[in-house]
Amino acid sequence: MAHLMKLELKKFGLARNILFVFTAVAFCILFITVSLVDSMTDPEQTKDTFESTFLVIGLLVSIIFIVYSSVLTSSLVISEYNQKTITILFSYPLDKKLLIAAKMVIIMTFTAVSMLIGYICCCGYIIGMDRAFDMLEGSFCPACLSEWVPMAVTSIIVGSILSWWPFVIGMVKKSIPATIVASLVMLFLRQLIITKNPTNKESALQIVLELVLTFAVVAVVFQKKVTKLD
Amino acid sequence: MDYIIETSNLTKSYKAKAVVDHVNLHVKKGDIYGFVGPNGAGKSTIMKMLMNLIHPDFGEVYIFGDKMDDKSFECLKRIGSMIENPYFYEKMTGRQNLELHCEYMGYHNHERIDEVLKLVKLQDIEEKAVSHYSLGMKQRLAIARAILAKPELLILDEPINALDPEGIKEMRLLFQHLQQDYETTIFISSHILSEVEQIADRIGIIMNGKLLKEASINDIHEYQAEYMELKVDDVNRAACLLAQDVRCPHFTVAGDDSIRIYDTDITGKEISALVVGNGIGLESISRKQNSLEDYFFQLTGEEK
Repeated sequence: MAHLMKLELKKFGLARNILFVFTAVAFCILFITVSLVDSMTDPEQTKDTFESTFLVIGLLVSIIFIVYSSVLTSSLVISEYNQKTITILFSYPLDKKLLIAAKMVIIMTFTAVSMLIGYICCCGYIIGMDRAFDMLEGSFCPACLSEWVPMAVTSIIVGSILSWWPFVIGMVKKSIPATIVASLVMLFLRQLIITKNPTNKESALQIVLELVLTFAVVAVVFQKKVTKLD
Repeated sequence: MDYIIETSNLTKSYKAKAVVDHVNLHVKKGDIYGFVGPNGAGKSTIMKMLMNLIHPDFGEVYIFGDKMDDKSFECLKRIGSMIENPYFYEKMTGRQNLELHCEYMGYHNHERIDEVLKLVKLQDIEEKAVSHYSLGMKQRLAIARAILAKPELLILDEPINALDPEGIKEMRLLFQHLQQDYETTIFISSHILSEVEQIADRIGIIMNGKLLKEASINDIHEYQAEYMELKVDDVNRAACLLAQDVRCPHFTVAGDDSIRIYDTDITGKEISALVVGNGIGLESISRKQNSLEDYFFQLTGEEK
C-alpha cells in the first residue's frame, strides 16, 4: 500500500496542491477579516464573538476542503476511467482495488491535513488579531480550546469520511460533475444534521453511523465498480 | 504443447448479444500471432480479457500456463500491451510517461528509456507533452512503452493503425527483431492483412465473436495457389468453353467479368487463343497468387 501511495503521489502533484491549501486558507482569513472589520466598524452590528467566529471557520474549512477533495477524486480517480488511462494502470502487476484504495487514502489524508491546517491558521489568526486590535467580543482564554479542539477534531473526522462519498457517486456515474455535486449535497446534509444538535457538531453515535454507512457503500463500490471496465 | 496464451471457450456477452463466442485461442511461445477480423468482430474484447481488464462470462484464459482470475496480476510483469488506443497522461512528456511506466512495472533500468525512444524514433521530441503528439507519434510511444520492460509477451491491438508506410515498415522490423533476438511472443491484431501476412507465424481469423480459423502461415501459403485470371466480356460463355477443355480441370468464376484457372498446364498464350478464337472478348490475362486477404474473404464470406 505504501509503495502504491508513493507511486500515486508522483502523479498527485503535491506542491501544486499544497499551494492550493495555503491559497484557500488565505481566502478564509480574508473572509474572516472582512467579517470582523465589518462588525467592528458598523455601529448597527455587535462585535463577533470567539464562538461564532470559530463556527464560521469550521463552516468555511469544511466547505472548501470537502469540495476540494471531490475535485481531487475527480482528477485522480474518475478522470482515469473517463480518459481510459485506467486501462494502463490495470495492466500493471498491481492489485487493482488496492491501487484505487491508495488514491483514496491520499485524498482522505490530504483532506484531513488541509482541514487541520485551515483550523490552526484561522484560529491562530483570530487569536492574534484580537490580541493586537481587539477585534472580537471578549478575550481568548485557553479554556476555549476544550470546546474548539473536539469540534475541530469531529469536523476533520467527518470531513475525511465524507470525502469518500463523491468517490461513491463518481464511480457509479463515472462523471466528474456528479462527483463534485455529490460533495455539495453531502455538505448540505451535514449542515442539516449538525444544526439540529445543540453542540453544533455530530454526536459520537452519528459519527459511528456515518462511518458504518460509508464503509458499507464504499465496500460495495469496490466490489462492483472499481475493476469493471466494460 | 507450450502455449503462452490459451483460451478455453472464452465467451462474453453485452446486452444478451455474444460479442465473443466460445473462442479457443492457442498462441505458441516465440510466435508472432496475427489476429485478424473486421471491426466489431471481438478482437479488442478478447485482448482485454487476456489482460484481465474485463472478465469473461464463461470460459478461461491461461497466460504462461496459469489460469487468469481476479487475483492474477503478477504475470502482468511479463507482458507489454497496447489495448484499443494509445492512452497516456497527456500533460506529461513522453519521457515522464515512460518513467512512470517503469515505476509501476517495478522495472528500474531507466537507461532502457533512451533505447526504446530511439527504437521508435521519438528521441528528439521526448520532452514535449503527449497532448502535442500526433496520433502516429502516440502510437510509437505506446509501442515504446509496451516493449520498455523487455516483456516475454506483447499484446498489441492495432499497433500500426495510425502509422505511415515508413513507420509500418519500421515496426514490422522491430517486431521481427524482438521475436528473433529476444524470443518475444507477439499477439497482434490488425486490419492490414498484408502486414500481418508478412510478419505472422500463425493467424487467427475472427468474425462475429467466433474464431473461424487458426492456421499457421505455412498452411495459408499452401492455400496460396497460383492461378491465371482472365477478364472477359462474357463470363458464362468463357466458363462453358473452359469446362469442355480437359486442360482446365479447375477453374472458378470470380465475379461478373473474371475467371480464375488453377492447376493448369495450359499457357496464357493458349488460353487467350482459345477464348479469342471463340469470339469472346479478352480484356486481360495475368498470373496471380491467392493472398491472406483472399483466404480471409473466403472464410468470412462463408460465415456471412
